[in-house]
Amino acid sequence: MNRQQDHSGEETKRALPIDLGDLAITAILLVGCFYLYYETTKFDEVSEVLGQNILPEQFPRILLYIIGALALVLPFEKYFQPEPWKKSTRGKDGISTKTWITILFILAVVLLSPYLGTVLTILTVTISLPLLWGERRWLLILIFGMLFTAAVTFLFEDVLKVYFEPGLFKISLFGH
Amino acid sequence: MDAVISGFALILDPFNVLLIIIGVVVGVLVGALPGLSSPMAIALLIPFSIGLEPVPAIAMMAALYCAGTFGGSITAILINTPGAPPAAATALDGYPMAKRGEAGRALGIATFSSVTGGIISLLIFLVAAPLLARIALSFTSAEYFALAVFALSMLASISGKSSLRNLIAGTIGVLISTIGIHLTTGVERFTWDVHELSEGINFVPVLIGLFAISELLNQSQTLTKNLERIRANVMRLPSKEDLRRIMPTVLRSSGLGTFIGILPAEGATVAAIMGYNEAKRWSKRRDEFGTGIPEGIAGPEAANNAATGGAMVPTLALGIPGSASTALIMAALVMHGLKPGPHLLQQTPEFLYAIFAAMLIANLAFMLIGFAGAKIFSQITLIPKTILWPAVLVFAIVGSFASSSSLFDVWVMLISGIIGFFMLRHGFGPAPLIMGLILGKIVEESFSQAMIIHDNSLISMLERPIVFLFFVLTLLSLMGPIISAIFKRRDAKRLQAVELGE
Repeated sequence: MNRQQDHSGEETKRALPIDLGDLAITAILLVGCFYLYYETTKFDEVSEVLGQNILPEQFPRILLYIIGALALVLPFEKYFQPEPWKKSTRGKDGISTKTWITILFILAVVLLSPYLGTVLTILTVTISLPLLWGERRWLLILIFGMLFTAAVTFLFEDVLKVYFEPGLFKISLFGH
Repeated sequence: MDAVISGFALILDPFNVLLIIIGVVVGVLVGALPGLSSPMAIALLIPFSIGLEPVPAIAMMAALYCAGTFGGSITAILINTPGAPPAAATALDGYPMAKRGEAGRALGIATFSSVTGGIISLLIFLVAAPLLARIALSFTSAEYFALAVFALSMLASISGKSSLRNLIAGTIGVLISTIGIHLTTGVERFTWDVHELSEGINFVPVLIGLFAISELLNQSQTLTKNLERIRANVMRLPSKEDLRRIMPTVLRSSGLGTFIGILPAEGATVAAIMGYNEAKRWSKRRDEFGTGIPEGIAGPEAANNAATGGAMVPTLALGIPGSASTALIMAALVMHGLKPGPHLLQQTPEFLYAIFAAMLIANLAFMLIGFAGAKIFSQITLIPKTILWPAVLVFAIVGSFASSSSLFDVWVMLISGIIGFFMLRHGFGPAPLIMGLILGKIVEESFSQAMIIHDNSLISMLERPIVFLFFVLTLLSLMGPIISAIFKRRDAKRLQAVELGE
């Protein structure tokens, strides 16, 4: 009885016939499927001659039916999966602050990259990201940032002949 | 014979040999570093190969693929952290042996087994690929459709993962491949008036995002994790006694690994797990497994490297990738304007021999590099994550941009990476999605053509024996995990009954 009381939450969870986390995934997938199905109804109509072939919306719709059907089974997966998918501790824990910061940082860098130009973008990543992650060996970061930026710019611009936008500051290491 | 000479001549060019050596060094480094993987490295390497001829570009990637699979064993043995998933089984006996002070011996056994497995699988590849390609020449669109569906269904049986999630991810991959203009009617699908989407999603940034950015975000959660490192000053060749003990295991695992590699979607990780299990099953020292015995290292190592040669068979002969890494190599082939499949091997047979030569050189090179540089590679893990992963991010951004000089592709890479990260957290791996993305075009094109030929009748298609066979195999592949679950549940109930004394 005590055991039941102590672990009542766990017992309730065990008793549930479906996985609630997976149910949420099912909901997301189904919403996505419905939306994309709606999108297929907006595809242009084809001429009568071409209409005898497989129509452009048919194949995506078949795929959406399959995804929808598989998604509906997902919450009941434990009944037919030999070894249940081992949820990693990452999956159980929340996403760490560092990860959210990293996501925002990458978004910001890509957003600003046309204005910064390649050289400054690489420098920003190689210097700022280690700092955001708590690295405090300044000299190491600076030396790495500068050498790595020079090496990557040389490799892509000079060896692979890729054109990079110099950005608002017109900074280019190899004079292109 | 001319094709053999031409193929070898293509590869033995000093510049190409240099590229292969670079591929091997990068592969071993990437394989050895936990978090970095061969598929990720191949994805990041694709933009670098833009300026190269197709053969050296693919040769470099094939070399990286072989070496990356081996490289994972170094950290599996020395720090009990497999640098790559195929080396996970190696850690079970490799690490205990290293802890006993025999790190050099463990690394030597792993290297010898990997090289032997790799070379045996290459010999099988050399024979099997042209044979399979010859059979595939008679395939119509119906057979190709059935084969591609079978390849997708195999995602269900990748062990250790959720079958259902793999299938969903694979189907989403196929769905993504439908973005863009429909080839037969010219109708735009899922483009939302974004003109960059008209020609479909570029593979390269998606691959980079799914493999590099999602893993970077994963790694950002474990930046402070410290690893216990065992010193290995020198790698030792296996002794005569060790060779005598491991040879049967190596040979058995090489055959098994090659076979698993040939199966669509099943890669080196599955081969390694099965290699370890089979080594244990056939051993007289079953109880000693897990304590650091040579067979426990040789089994998975021979199998995982043998799977690399095996996986190249369907990739080149049929245009159906044998693993995530070969799916990326296939994407690179397409980017270089080549269409993998029987016609490629028929029209340019020297291509097959060139890839064979490249992988052979790679296997021999990573043995030499492995033996000579054991000490260096054992120190690789000293590179701080806080320095390593920003470098990966730079390559991901610059590589995505370089693939088509478009910032749009950088956004595709970034969005793929973020979605991939959340998918990974919920058990949807990147490999099935990539397989679906790569196979998507084949599935739709062959399906459309087959339906026209067979008057929109699937039943008519099933009258073709090979189509029927592939559909039966598809059913078996889909039912496999369910049947396995039923048996396991029954066994568990019996065991419970015995324990309760019933």
